[in-house]
Amino acid sequence: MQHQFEQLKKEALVALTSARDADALRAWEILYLGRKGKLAQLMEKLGTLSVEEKKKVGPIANAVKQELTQAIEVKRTSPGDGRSSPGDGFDTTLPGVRPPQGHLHPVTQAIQEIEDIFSRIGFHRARHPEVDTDWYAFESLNMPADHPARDEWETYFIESPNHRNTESQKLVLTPHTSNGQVRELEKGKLPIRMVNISKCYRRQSDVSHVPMFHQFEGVYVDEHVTFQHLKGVFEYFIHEFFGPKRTYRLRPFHFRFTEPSVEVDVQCDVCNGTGKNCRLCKNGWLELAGGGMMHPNVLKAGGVDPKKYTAFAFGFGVERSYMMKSGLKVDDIRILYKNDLRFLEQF
Amino acid sequence: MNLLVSYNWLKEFVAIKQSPEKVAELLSLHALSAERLYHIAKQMDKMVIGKVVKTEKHPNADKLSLNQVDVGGKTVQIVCGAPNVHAGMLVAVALPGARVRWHGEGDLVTLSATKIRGIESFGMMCAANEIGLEKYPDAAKGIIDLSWLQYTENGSLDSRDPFSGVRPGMSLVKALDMDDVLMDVEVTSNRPDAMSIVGVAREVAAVLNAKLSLPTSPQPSPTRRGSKGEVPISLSVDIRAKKLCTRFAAIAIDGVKVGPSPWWIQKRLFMAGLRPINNIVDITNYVMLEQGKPLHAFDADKITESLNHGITESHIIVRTAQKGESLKALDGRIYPLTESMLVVADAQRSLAIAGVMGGEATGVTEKTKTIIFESAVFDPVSIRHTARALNLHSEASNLFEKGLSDESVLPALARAVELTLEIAGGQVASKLVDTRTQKHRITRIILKSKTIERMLGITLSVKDVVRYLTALGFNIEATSKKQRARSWRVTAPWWRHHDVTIEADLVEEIARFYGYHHLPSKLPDGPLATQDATDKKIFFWERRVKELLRGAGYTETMSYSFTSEAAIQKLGLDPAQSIRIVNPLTDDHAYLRPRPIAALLEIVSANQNDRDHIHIFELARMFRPRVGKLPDEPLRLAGAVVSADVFREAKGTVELFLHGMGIASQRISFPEYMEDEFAPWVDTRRSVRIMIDNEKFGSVIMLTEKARKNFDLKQDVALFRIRFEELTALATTTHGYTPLPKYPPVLRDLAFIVPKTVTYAAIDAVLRKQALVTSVELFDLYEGEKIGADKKSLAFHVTYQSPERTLTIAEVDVVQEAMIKELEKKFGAQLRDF
Repeated sequence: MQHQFEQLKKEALVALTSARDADALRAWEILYLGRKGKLAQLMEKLGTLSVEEKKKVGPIANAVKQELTQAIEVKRTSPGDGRSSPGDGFDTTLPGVRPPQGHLHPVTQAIQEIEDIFSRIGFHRARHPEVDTDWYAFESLNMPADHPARDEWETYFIESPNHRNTESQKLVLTPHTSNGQVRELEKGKLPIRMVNISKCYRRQSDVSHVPMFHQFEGVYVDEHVTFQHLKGVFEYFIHEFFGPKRTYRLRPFHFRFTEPSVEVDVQCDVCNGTGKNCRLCKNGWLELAGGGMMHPNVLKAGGVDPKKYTAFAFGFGVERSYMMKSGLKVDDIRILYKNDLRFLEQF
Repeated sequence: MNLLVSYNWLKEFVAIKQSPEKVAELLSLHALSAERLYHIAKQMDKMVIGKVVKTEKHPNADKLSLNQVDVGGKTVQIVCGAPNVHAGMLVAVALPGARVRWHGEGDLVTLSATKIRGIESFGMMCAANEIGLEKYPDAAKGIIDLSWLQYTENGSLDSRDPFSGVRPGMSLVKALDMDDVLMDVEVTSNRPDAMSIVGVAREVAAVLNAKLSLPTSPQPSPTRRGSKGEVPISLSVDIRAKKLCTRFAAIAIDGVKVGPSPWWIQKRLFMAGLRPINNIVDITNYVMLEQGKPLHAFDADKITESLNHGITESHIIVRTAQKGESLKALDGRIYPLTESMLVVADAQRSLAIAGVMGGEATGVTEKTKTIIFESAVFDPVSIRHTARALNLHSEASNLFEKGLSDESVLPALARAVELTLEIAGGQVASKLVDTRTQKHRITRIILKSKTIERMLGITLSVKDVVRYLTALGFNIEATSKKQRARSWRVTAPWWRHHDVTIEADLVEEIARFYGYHHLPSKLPDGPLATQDATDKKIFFWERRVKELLRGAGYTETMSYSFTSEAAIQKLGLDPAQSIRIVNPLTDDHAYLRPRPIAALLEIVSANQNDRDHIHIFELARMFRPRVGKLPDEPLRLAGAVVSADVFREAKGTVELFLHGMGIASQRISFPEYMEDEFAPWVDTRRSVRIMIDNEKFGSVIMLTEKARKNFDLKQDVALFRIRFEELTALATTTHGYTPLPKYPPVLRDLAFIVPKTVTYAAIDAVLRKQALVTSVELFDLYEGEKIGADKKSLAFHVTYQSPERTLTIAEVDVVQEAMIKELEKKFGAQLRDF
């Protein structure tokens, strides 16, 4: 008899471990602890025992009952159990209810990343005018009036009420961020580690040009700046922004305001630098930026002694860099400034 | 400027052993960017010479012909749409598998045998512009007629003409002798000398360390003389505009036979993208391509001459144009000239716009017998002004305006004479006239080894410095005879006089020759620089606020800084008070925007059909004129809201970002607009100012009905705008805090029905001034028929709390009772049951 109770206990506890939801627990309870359950049936048989045996088996029977009752209680309050039953219509495939979600313009996202990359090497952002005089936009950059180099910028000219338009005071919409070079030098605080990220304007509008775009311009002025620093900063930026595996090259170029001057190419990721049948790149390379050692005339224009200080300056296009990085292939770059929310909400 | 450089032509001048790819790579790394390579043999792959055997009408199409074409050993059937096909014609056939540019446009298409209107066609007969010869006469009209290839079948006049043995089936590239590679080379504006085959050859030879052998033509001298030994043409040049023309050389050749150029010349012009005209004009262009020096040829018989004892006297004058003068140029158009423009003239009239374009009247034609070649150098600024003013840009003006050396004059002229005598016959009939207006000056630049180190961070051996500069044509000698002299006197070669003028220019030559790829890289390692405190604040908060608004569900827009007259007027503003763009691309972009509002409304208007909720913002500079200063460029944060409750959402957004910027709500108020404030598009009764510490910072705006219509807005829009720079001056990341209450609050919900004219602020003030009330929150606003059309219901969560003790229900009831009474008395408020 005693053995039968022990058996029942074992059986019940094993059964209990596989009861995983409320229904199963209820069924277990009825089967073992119910009024006509297995334990009750066994207990009825106690009446057939002798008094002595009753004394011996009775406490055991009660202990089993207590143990099973406790077991199901524990099971009922344990967090792993008491799961909801299948078929209750709870639908996990319903779409999530999102909190309001906004979007930053892709150009802003690019600017933030660029700003962070440069701030890590101590280059701080500065602010310079978007409408500036011919002096800062061209003349002070070693491009006198009528210099053919000016043709490379399709410049917008500005007429402002009450503004006197003498030759060097003539107003332009800055066609590049380089107007910040002499402005930064003129502040007279050396050394300079500046990055000027700003809007620029050129008279061109087609699938690959926008009349307003962004550039970032880096300037480093100190007593010991060499071309190697420029190369180092190019390399650092390219590896940070495009990834450490992206190869680049410096190619001799000409700018009036730097000497020596280079252009920077990065390897095309569309054709992997092979240039084969690639419509995007030139022989496997994509033009990315220009820069060089600041021309002594520019340093002088900013009141800095070129005998004492050397400097570099460079400029990148933000949109161009961003599109080359993200592999974002838009048919028409002007979509960036169309402000179609269906486009902006994808970023 | 880009130049298409023929690899074969280059090889005539430089002993190149490397492949075109290798040359392009090294040239790009050390000198000029060779951007793309075009293998003509690849482009003309599967293209052959065909001979039309039979041509007839296509049975199913009026405009198509059905042709049997001999393509060497077999005859194929080709359907063609060109009208100029005839039997016996030699044509360029692109067989299946060839890649052609249909009608000279778009991407290359690979041909396959196909059926055209039910008839099989094996390839196509090509137009000139479909096989890459865009400048061939009538390149787009009909298929290219190569029948002329037969004329030289029995041996060519010129050994460089390759056509003996041209027969159907021969590959097109071979028949045309065009198995070449073109390098598309970008030439920077400081290097007009490199805008030529010779110029590129100099660089290639230096970079490859290969032998350079440039053409040297004999100095021309008269080859025809009269019976007494006199020169038949007496040529003289008078430079009157001495500052604008520094050198002018000329020479006459008579007895020339003008006609088409031999193919080898035409071919090179085609490959460079130039159009052949006749042999004399082609020679001037050929020499320009070869040497980068523009020339001009006049028909000497059209120039006013006088006859003096059997000698023809031609007098050429270089002067500025006279008032009212005009000239019909070679392009057939008449150009009115101004007194600042330079012309080449005879005694009576101008003959050419100097350095820009020749005149039609004195141009060389098939009838020309005597020519005068001009080789001159004009002032770059003057040429540039003239070309711009006339909107007439030629290959010549593009070179002249970059600045050419006076020393380029004679080699080019001699080369042109040499080619003319060879190709067009004739004899030199005048002396070589060569007039200079200034002495040839040579600049010596002192180059110090120290400067190289200072700029490049490397130390080069004396040997290397000398080797690099010498390879590039510079003359270099040590400033002292000491063995270890570390400075040099350097003279640039004549073709670099304009662009190498200071020491830094020499450092660049050395750097590129050494190779930027060989230089080490270094990160900035000196002392740090500090950021301007104002800039720092603005950039910090710019990012914070953008992120904050993004988190709140706003999408950032970015609009052009341009605006239109119409958009300014839609806001009721005066365009005359705005900043105008002198040379806008379109009317839409004629002004700089003074305010952010119009762009936002345009965006709402453009997007409103897709959605009924819009939350957008922009942070950008606006542009406003200032007296005696650069325009003001204030940063404005502005946004627009379309939703169920636009005004409150816009206002709440302002509260949100002001809180995010650490500006305490007690400092902020939203007073109504003053009656006399100028803001024509603002419905002032429904709009408020944003004030911080009683100073105006911006506004929350509802539009007037008219303004809404102006922008075609279908729904209510609320806007906010705020002066951002000034705001960042107040912003802070430091926060104080109020200790948390120790005793529990009593929370009560109360709703009142009041007349619609009673403002929220009035009720709020009464609630808040009660003792024990620590917070009041509006949680429901109801208007509806149930409570009467002139009424509204406001429901509040009111919090009672004491910092000192736990409140009893009884004392809260007392306060609440008094509050309700006051509201009843002041506003006729009725307490509403829930």
